[in-house]
Amino acid sequence: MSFVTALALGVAALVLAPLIAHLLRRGRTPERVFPPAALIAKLESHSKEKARLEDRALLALRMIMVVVLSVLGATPLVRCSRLSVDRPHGASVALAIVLDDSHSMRAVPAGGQSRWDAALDGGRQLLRSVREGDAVVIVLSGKPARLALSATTDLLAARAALEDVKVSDRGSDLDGALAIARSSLEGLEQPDHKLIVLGDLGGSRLDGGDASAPLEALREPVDDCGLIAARRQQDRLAVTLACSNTATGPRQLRAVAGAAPEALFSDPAQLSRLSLAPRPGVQTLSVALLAGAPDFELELVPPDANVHNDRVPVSHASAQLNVAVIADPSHASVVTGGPTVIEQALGAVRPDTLIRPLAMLPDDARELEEYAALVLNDPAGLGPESRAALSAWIEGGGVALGLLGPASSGLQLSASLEPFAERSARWETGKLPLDVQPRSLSWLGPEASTLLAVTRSGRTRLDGAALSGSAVAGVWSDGAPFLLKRALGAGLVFTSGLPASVEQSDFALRPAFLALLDHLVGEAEQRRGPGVTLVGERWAFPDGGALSITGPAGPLRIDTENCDDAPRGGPDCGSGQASGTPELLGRYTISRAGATQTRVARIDEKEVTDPPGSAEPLQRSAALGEDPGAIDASPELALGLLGLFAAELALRAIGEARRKRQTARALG
Amino acid sequence: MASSLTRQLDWAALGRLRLQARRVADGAWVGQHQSRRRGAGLEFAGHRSYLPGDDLRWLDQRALLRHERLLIKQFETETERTLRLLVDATLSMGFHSEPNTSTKLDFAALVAAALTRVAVRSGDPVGLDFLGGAVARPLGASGGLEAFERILVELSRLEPAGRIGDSRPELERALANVGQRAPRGTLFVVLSDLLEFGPSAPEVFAALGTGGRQVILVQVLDPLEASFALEGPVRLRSSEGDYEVETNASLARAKYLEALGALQAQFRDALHAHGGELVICRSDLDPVHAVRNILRAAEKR
Repeated sequence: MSFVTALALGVAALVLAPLIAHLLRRGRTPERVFPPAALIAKLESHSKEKARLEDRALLALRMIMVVVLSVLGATPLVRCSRLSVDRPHGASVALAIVLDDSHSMRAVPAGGQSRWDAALDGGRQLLRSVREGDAVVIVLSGKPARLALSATTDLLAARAALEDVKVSDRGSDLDGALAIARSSLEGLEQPDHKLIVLGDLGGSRLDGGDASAPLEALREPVDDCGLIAARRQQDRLAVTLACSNTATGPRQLRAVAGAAPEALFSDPAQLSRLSLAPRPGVQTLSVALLAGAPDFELELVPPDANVHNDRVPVSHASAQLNVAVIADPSHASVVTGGPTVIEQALGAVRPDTLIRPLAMLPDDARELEEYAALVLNDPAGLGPESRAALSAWIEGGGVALGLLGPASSGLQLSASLEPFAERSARWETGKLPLDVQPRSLSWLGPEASTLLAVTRSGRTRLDGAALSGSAVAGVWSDGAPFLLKRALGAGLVFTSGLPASVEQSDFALRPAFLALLDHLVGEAEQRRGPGVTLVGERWAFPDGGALSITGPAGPLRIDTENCDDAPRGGPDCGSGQASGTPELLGRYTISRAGATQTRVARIDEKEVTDPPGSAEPLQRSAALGEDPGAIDASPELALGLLGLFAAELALRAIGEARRKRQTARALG
Repeated sequence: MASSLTRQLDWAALGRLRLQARRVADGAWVGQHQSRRRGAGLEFAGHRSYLPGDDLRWLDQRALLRHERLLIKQFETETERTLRLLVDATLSMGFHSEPNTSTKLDFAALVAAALTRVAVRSGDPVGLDFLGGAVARPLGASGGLEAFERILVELSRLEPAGRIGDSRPELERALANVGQRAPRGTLFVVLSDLLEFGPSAPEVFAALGTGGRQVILVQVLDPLEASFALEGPVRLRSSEGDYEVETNASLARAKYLEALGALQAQFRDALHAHGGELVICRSDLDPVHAVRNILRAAEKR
């Protein structure tokens, strides 16, 4: 602040001058003896009130005028708290705004305005300060980070894009958003590049020198506890509760939007007895459910800074993912009497799944309905009924993995390996260890390189045994197929050339096996899993007829591969994978090929538990420069001053006229 | 004050004035004023029928023999009519506004002296009493020029002081001696501003007019009190400091005048109920007019 500004603002101290003058004037009120003062005193309450009201109005007007005059003298040097883009060289600027649209931005700190509204206001202020020739990029840091507006110099489009952005219940992906913003700024012609983050920084620290996070108010801690998930586990309900480290006061749970507690819980009074201490972090509660309890919602009371995470749906869809494992324990176990190695691997990769070992493959597809995935180890052929049931289940969205071994070679006449492979698949013995090409399994990730020297006694030759529609997903080092992948209806079939039995191979002990199972379960989740996924995770659906998703905010937008925004099934849109991304937490109903499925989108618990991040002082103002908010408000202030003068004149005229009327009435 | 009284009073103008009583029932005048009172007296005034209780000394025996009726002889008598001046010398009477140079007490003393002069010329005894006042010594009723001189001396050294209070007991206590000393037929002339005696003052002053006495209240007001010709904010304090009030005089004037009129109406109503009169005069006007108004008020009864 310069001396001139300080001097001008110092004039504001004269705001007391009218008050002092008023007091002095009151003090100078002529005092005189007047014997009938008692008569006046009886009337005084009325007349005095009138005079006081008039004086106060005039006094207030004059004080306001002094303040306005002071600001008028200081403008345009006065700085306001508005955000604006600094132009140290006076040149045009490329501005990237990283807007956090994650769930934590819904919180309402003590100030009364939600973080999201405050961030949006900040974005608007920034866009008001950009000029023609400036480029603007808007990146959303809700997980996964994405580009809301690619670099453009069309400022109207930028402002419209900002208004179109909505807050979501996604997790936070600040690093990804910063990477997108930086890459978007690269190559832009503007000499100055500004990267401004408008968000709570989600527990991270902004250290990058090129970014700034100017709104400190967004990073004020809040009192928040949220319900993350409520998962049905047969006759139990597991409720996951998360609290921030600044949460205070006990919470309680209550059932809403469903049946009465007597129809839901074994002990209806249990919920009301529970007083949940706001422990920072995540805690899980278990409540006994009645068999056949309908869907309902749980609510956390009392409301806190973020009321959007105080409700969670309890749906049959939120039951655990069921994976069926059909394996001979005598061959597929490493410990006698213990679970098979497949079950152990599944338990390690997906501890939240419910693993069901089956003695044999059911002959009825309805018996498979409750499973989302199925792993079949070294089957000795599948009978016609089993094949039909399995195929129908897969076409309905099931995902199956067949691990073919020596038993699969000796097929009876009525048996075959469909839908995994042709009958021609055969076990080939060999003592030399063989490798699987890591490159062919790159989709598994870094674990693909762990299948070197994986054979011990042989392998199943799948070359020439692939069924129609199969694709090779992995090959041996000699070029023979190791893994086949085949889409069947809405489902998916994987066929491996090695069994899980450690007698033939240590494939089941390799990390790649775990990665394969993880992939298998992931595919199953996408197709018919329990549907409890994080908000922002894409739900993909193989081509399988009309698809519609209805969520808490209405129909969800469906994207189709190779079609983008074209209507699915239209002339310009061929077959392809459809997908939708839930933006809000809650229950979603998916209608697909005549079948209806319910999924639940939940928030990332980090959105509640992670405290707001921090930024270095330099990062708080780096993009704002030394003169962030110079605002020339002279015309408005001058106009206001004129208005105040006019108001005083009017007030005086009215008062004078009233006095004259009263005097005339008194004397005449 | 004596010199100022002599200077300001137009004796020639007041010398022609005479107290003339016209009381029908109880008034009695001595000297030039014939009494309307019939009964024991000097000149025969007629007969009336006897009523039980009449003094048998005045039974006309001749008329009884002639007319065979019991008739009582009546005579007209000439009686004195005492003038009792009651001057309010409390602090409030010491007030005067600019540019007026005389206080209300000055004016009241002048009027009291003039009335004394008129009464003495008529041969009526005059007494003097005070409400408040410093070195104020009451004088019993007496006649002649000596009485006039004594009263003039008391009035000339009178200074405003003290207060009566605005409760009924305080005012009754102040007037107790005044009322007790006055015989029937006494004319009370009270010179006061009547502003600080409280709400019961009309009744208490009017009560002086009981027992065959007459009361004339003379309200002496300063011109400022009469018109409240002030403007803008002003802080007002009563003489005794009981009240202090800040007001906008321009806004309060109408209400003040209304309240003053209501006060005067209360006094007037109370006095009329007891055969009294209220005379209002301003201290900046000619005191001759005030004396004439007082005499006219006395003549009404």
